[in-house]
Amino acid sequence: MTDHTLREELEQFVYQENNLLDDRRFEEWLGLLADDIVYWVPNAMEDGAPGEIGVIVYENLTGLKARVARTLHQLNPAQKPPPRTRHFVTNIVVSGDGNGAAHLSSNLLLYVSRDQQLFQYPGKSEYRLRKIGGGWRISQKKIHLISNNLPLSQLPLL
Amino acid sequence: MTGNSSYDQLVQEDRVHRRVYADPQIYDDEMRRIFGRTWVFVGHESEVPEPGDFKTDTLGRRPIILVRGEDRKVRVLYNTCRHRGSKVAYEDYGNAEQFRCLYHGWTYETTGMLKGVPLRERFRNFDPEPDFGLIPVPRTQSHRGFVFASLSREGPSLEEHLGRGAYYLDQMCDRAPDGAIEAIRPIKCDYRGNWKLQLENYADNYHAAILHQSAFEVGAKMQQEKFGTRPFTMRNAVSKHIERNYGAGHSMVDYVGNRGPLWMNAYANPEYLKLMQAKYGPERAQDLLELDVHIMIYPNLLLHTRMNHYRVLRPTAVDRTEVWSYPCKLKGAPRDVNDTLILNTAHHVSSMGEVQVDDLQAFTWVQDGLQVEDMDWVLFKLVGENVHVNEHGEREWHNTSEEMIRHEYVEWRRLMVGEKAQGSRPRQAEIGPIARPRSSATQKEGRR
Repeated sequence: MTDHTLREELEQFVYQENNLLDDRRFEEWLGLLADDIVYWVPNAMEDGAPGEIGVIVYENLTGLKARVARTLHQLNPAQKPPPRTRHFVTNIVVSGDGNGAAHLSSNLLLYVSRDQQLFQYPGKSEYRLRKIGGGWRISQKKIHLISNNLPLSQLPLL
Repeated sequence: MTGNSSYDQLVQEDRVHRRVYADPQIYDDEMRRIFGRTWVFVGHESEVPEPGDFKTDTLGRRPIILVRGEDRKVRVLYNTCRHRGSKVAYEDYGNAEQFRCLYHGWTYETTGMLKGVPLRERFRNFDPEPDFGLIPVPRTQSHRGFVFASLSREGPSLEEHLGRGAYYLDQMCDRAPDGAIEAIRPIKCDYRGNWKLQLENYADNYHAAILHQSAFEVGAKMQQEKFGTRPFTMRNAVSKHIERNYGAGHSMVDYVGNRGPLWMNAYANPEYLKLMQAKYGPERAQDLLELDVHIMIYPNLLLHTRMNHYRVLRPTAVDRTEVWSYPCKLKGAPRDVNDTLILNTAHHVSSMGEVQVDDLQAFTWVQDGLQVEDMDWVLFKLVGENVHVNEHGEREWHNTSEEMIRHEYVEWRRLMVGEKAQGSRPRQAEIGPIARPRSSATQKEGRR
């Protein structure tokens, strides 16, 4: 696979992944995750093990499934009404190992409409991806929000 | 300004007027009379372990520096240059050989003393005292590394203010094999609501199973799959705990009736158990490992032993509040234990967590709802069962109530009216009628 094809393929993959989140198709989004997914949103400090320096989120597949179940639960207070979101993904840089594993980094700008306000969350996303059974799966998604040292109100899935 | 007599009317025995949450003038008074007067938690010494280590923060509205000086002493200094008033420390955390004001270059030792003034020889009428420097907060004292400051030069000592609270802080620290906790960087949230809503919420077991039903149901289902435990039902969710207040607005909850088997909790680590048994003997070690209490130190410190963190309330406006949660390590405990505690804390309190976000949402709903001027009174009428004074002089009762919130408002009223502190022992006026009839029906429910 040429670099160009890989880039195009992963770009499309990440666009679709973010669209699933914005369209609230969370069950389908779970389907894009590898069994050993690490979903990681660092807190103020970024250099160090999650259990050493703290995090905003550090979750495995079980945790993410529970998160989706909570999000879709009728009585979840933070979903009254559900926030409306749109992820903007730019500055994509892709590298592959030629053997079914790849790394993608991008800038992220997330807009969230909730609580009668519009919030914006700029940051950087880093994906580790693996080809499993002919399709790409996410084995790590790490989102560095530039406001991760500031007080934040409720965040949706990034 | 609101007169003292009106604070007597706004806060009554079991109800509080909506203005207490919504009136900017009352908020201004709170900043002066509560945060500008009583002992306020400002940080933990473990945040600044080495000489020169500092963190910046605010005390009420005033910028402060918590710094460990070259002499290893921890001080709380106002973050304002004696020349023109600029801040002199700019990072959240750092290590400094000196503080240098970047505006005109005045420098200060890490002890706060003035060190250098550019062009000093050309200053006129400038003959500062030898101890001239960054202004220290009038009073600073610490207990087990928890640093408190008071802007009032007189008043009860910290130990008098904490009273029995000191014992509960000790319990939290005693769970570390080395006898100390270490606070790491805070996870910060904010909400559109008054600061007292979070303070009340932490003293409120009434809301938990209802507001957090979605989180509890999903959580119980995961545990059921993993451990074969019971699913969530409202009946299972009836909490069996003891609530206490011990004066000065402070209170605590001991979830003694809800302790699960130790093998399920974060402290179930054989190596840790061994260290604790060696230090304390088997009985006290077991008790410390199982300890599950919420501790409230009025007005701004909330501690959580099960997940080993504390939260600090930071009011920023009448309808705006920040909650900074500090995950803590138990010094000397195996790394596994601390890792689990830190991740559990994040999953509980962060802006993407599973529990605290529900509360933040509710605070916003309340703040909006209290704009209705015809909604005069907020009610705190739920009473505890078997209210009595225990052997330590604490007022104690069983199961869910709004007693602790009422107790917070006794202190709020005292501070706002400007009455002298009485120390932290509950006074008769706070204890109130203790011989409530014990209903057999409610007792039965409590034991379920």
